[in-house]
Amino acid sequence: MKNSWLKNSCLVGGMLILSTYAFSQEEVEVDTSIVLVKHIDAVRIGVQDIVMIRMLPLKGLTKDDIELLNTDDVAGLVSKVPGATVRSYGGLGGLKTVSMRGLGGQHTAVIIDNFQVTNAQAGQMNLGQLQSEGLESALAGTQLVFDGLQSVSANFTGNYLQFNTFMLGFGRDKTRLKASVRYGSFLRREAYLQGDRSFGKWSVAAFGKFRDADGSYPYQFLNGATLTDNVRGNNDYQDMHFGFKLGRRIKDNSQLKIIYRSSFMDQGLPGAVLLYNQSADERMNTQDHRFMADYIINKYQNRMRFYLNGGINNLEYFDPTYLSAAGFVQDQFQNLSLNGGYIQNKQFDKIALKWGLEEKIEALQSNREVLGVPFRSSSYGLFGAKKMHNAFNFEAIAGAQLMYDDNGESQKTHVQFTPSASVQYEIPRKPQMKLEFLYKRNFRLPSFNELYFGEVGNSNLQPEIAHQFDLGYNWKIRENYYRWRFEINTQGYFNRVQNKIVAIPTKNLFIWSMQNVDEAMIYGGLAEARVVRRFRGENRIEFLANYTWQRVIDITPGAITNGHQVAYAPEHTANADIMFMYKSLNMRISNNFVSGRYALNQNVPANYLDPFWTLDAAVGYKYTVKNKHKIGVQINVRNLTNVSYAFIRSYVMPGRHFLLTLNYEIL
Amino acid sequence: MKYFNLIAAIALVLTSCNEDGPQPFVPEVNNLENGMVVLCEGLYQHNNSSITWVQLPGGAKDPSFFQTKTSRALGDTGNDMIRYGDKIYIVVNVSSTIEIMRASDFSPIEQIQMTENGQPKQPRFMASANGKVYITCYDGFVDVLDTASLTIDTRISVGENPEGIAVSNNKLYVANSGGLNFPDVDSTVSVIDIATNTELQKISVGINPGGVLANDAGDIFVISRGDYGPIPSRLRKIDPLTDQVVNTAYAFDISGMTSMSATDMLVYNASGVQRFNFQSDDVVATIPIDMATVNTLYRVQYRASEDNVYILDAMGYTNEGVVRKYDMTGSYLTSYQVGLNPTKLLFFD
Repeated sequence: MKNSWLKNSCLVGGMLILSTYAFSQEEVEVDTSIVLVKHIDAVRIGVQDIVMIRMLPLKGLTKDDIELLNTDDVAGLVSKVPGATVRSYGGLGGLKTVSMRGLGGQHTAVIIDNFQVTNAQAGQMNLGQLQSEGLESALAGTQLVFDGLQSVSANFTGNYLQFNTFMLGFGRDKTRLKASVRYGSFLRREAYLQGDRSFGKWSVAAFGKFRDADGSYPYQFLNGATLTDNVRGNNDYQDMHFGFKLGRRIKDNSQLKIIYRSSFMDQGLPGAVLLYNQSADERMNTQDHRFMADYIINKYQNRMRFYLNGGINNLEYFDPTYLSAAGFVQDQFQNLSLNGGYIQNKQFDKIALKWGLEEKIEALQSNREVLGVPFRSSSYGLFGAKKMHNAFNFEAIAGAQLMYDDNGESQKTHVQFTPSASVQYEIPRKPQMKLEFLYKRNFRLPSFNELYFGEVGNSNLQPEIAHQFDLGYNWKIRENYYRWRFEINTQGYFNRVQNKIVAIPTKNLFIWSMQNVDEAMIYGGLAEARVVRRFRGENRIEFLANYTWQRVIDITPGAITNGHQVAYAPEHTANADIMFMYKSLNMRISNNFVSGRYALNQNVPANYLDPFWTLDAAVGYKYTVKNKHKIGVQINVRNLTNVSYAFIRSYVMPGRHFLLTLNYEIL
Repeated sequence: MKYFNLIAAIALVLTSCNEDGPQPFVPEVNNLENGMVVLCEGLYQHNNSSITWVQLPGGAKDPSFFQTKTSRALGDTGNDMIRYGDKIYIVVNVSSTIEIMRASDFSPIEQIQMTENGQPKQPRFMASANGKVYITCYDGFVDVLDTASLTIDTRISVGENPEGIAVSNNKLYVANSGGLNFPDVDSTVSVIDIATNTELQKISVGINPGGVLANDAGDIFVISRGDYGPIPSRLRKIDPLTDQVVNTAYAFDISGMTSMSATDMLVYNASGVQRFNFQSDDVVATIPIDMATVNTLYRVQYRASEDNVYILDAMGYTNEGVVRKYDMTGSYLTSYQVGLNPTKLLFFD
């Protein structure tokens, strides 16, 4: 595995040299008169501001980024975010969860078009089941933007991932259409179609996607001192996604949207690679339906939103060769959720206020008698204020949640408070430099599985509490350094987690149970930078890099692992991307590095997992006909250097593989 | 201030670098003598089952002894290990293999893939007699391994998810746990005629039978593990002549038992280790071990040649295990750090 470092270094170095040479042939002054901003009709705007528009969302990705990365799912995008660690159990269709700034996945809200999507059974979303097509932006962070209109409950988690799709806006009065077909390694085929337009006060948008793949990929696995070759079987995957939006402007300043989204997934579960045992025949079928209604009133300095969100998620797990009396296992689960709320932002003379309420009910039905019929009702309320004073920008939000749990046998009520406060300080005479401080107390409720799942569940679990302290330093260098522009952002953070919910063996090795036993302390820092060199027109080179160092330490009193880095928390993660835009040609080289980590909390050599560094490349060509039709072709090569790696022990990831994409857009 | 970011980033990287500590001494072992082989189960789906060789009395160890001898890993979840004749047999449950090693130097002889129609049989425990090794398989069979040809001769159908197995009076006694039907578990012991390799009958012993042990007199002891809740784990005794359960009245909690002598065995649970006398048919003494020094009592073994008790401490099941040695007065003697979830010891003089 260590050879991969050398290969990657040589490859990246070579490409850097070549690319710099190629662009050096055409060094020109930047045209500052007019620049076409993508997705905004010709807007007269200075290049300085354009650069800032592109550079501001350092914690996020733009539509161009997303298109060029062309990931299998949103997890591929999240892995580019500093401070985020994606725990991936496989390639296409594999379970993928995220840990942000050392906190577990249950501390991260996933927001799509301002709606928070949840799964009370698992307590977190499988990012491997969320599609990346149709996304216009992806953002991540700790504190939601104050004047945003995201669901109230999304403010109650430690971190957030926000994905905005093409269905978020009202649309234009002409038809926009986008179609793509993809063909890739492991017999992967897919087709995607989206379209939107408005008709006076009405707007419609819809999308559909079909994808299937045989999924059998070759891999190498280290067995003792011997590297063995094999093929990952039972990894087939099919999914379909549909959705539509119907929008109506009620008045000039308000609009109503009705949205429906559904997903169907059927897949083999290859499981962990087990030495000497290649059998795997389990399957999983998932269906997800979500109905949403959104009413936004957008007056001058006064915005309010009413929303309703209902979801049905059906999951079936099937093991045809389980060694029980029946000879198989067929578990069926149905998660039901309904939430509705109201949020408002209002700007007064000297202060901005934000307040909102939300009610959410969640229920789970299953054919597993041991699970009962869990039901949860949650009420959220928040009130926040933001004030700017001289060089200071103060923000404070107080939130409270009342939660009632019932599974037919036991009932429990919890009241939790989620206060947060932040202050931002612009250094005098250096407006490009800012200092930020944030404190946030948040919690995550035990999932239905953690509470009630047979012997494992523990209905006496308390919410897991996290205290977050962030100290940030943001430096936007707007000056030219030999026509290069820089932005640097650094942040330090400290989190402390109490009542951490973990599964531990209680009666014997086979009887595990969820307990509030662990405590963890997290501290670290991240740095990110974007460097842009512009040439004539839209030609440019961009370098993006981020690096996160974090210690996620078990501080459970008396624990054997006290002082150890917790499982699957790499101390170092980094991304380094190079992008070239030259006329109609786009190219992106992406590096992702994850340092060594431990498969269990005990930091001993037997639990150590090797670091890995993967290199992806993308080349795209777009041709526009009469400013109306855009035809594009793109090839993505993932894991270019064919590195054998696994983030989770025994869950091997695919080696080098390809994806060819043909795009057609009516602009 | 201008270079603050650069300095901070460099400082961050430098302070975050770790240095590896010195590598521990690993003895080169050419012959299995003056030491013990420790089978460590590892954890499910971690492929980290292992064999630790511990040199006695000094304690120098090779934590990857199987890998040292074979250049490959043992696999996933090693459950049982026996020495029979000149060979050592190791059952690896999730990998579904039997590893056969030479008892003289632990060199590899054979790996047997335990599959049936492409599906893993999931072997669990072993017993030996008459040149055969009998292996319970979770798919509801006992496999008969011929120790000369090293092939599976036949498969004997038993109950669901068989666990412990013992030989007495030319019969096999197999605990049918039905564990994968939990909470509707099995409650029987299959009796198998070794001569014909057929099941003679099933004896009802109480729910969730697990461990089985035969003493020198041939009596069969079975642990019915209950439901891990209100129904406690209890010992049962079977008469091998009548194949009847002759004692169900034992009142002590039990999680495991291990041979000690012709007259006694050790029984144990999380609260301690006791001596069970076959003559009096009851617990006769408690080995006064300070259980506060034991984190997670997982298994217990007795070494007759030194009259000592070894406690295999699983240390919470997710940390490296410790083998702790006590004398029969409960005095702590020494301990050896081993792999994850130590489950079986083989001693070599």
